[in-house]
Amino acid sequence: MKTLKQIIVFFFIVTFFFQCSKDSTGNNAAANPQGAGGSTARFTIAGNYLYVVDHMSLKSFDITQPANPVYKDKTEIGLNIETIFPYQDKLFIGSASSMYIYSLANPARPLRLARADYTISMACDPVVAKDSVAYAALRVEFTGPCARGFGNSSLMVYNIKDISTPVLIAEIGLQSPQGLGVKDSALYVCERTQGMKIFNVSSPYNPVFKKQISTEIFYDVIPYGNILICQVHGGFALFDIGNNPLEPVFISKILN
Amino acid sequence: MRLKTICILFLVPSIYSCEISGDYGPGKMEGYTPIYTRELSSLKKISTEPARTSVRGGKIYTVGNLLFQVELDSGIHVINYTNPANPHNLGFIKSFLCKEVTVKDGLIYTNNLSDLVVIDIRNWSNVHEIGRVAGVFPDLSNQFPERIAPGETVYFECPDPGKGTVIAWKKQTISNPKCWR
Repeated sequence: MKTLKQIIVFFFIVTFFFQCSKDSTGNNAAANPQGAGGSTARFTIAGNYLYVVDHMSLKSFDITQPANPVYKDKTEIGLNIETIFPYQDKLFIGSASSMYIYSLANPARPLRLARADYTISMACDPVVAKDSVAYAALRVEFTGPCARGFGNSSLMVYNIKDISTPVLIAEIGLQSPQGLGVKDSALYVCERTQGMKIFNVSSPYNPVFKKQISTEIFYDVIPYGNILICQVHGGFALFDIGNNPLEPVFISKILN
Repeated sequence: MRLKTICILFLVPSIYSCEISGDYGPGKMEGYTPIYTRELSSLKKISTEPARTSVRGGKIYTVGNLLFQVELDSGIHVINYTNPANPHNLGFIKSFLCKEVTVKDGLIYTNNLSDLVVIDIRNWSNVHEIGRVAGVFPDLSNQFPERIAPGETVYFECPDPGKGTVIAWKKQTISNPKCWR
């Protein structure tokens, strides 16, 4: 009996620790010792710090000693803060009316580098970034929690070469966007009941609509190595993006 | 007066989710009343349970070949997708009012009510809380009745923190609700 228990415990330890070495199938783990969250998250970890946004502020926690997280600082950002996304040594924060960029040069006390106000005010809006481009998906609704603004739901494309001065380059009409993610030349935009739209961003400031996958209600995505993990209504779905990120191939899903 | 104060408290974290309707507000209607508890110790217990199906699947996080998905307000599904064609649900970690998840070095950082909790999952047979910072996320412990359809307006009796922690909502006829979303 004891032996059986030991075997089970051993199995789980193996599952948790050594799966990372199983990369012969071109799978994720070895290339990604780092974790990744969706674009709509309010919690994120960068280095030895946990960053959390609430509706108005950014909080930092030193997690060098995980058993004893230390609440370090609270920075007031603005109203209706919704999402936080780490990229390199920066935090991209989405609010209902603006995109904010914070430097982590002093990780305990993030410092604002930029604030870009949307031409559309008051929407729901995650932000992701890659190299010198940032994409924000703004959802404007007539009813519900995003029914605060005017204008149309849009994908905003910013040039962030000069990090302190994001420049709006393009504005592309969307229907009902929520989360988004970018890998190589592909930008994935979840459009909820409208499915997921894939844009070709090989020219990063000029996303070109490529195709739409309408099999699920899509809320958010994490492009992670060769796998696209999608938060969909009732659970999640996995797509293979190893061969061609612009052509995700359905692998599996777990729904309720 | 008290209700007004409570509504103002709600206004701060979520400006548009609750408004003061005053005397000219709607009369009797179908709405929700909070069910309270004062027994917080069981709600603050982090524990594992067998895998369950997702009902209100929430935010996602991945590291290695593990996928974590929030089950809104109740905990986190842990899924092994080493074989993506056949993802395997390992189990469920209970954390009352869970809304967010992030993971580093085999440790989950999430919320339990308004607390930050750190959960050690390096040994699945002994998943346990290793750290907690109390009361740092007051807005994550706010609770609202679920909308039946997206965009639908639901009316509810404003929660009174003096009565305890809201654990559920009961549908019934209410008069002049001061809160809605």
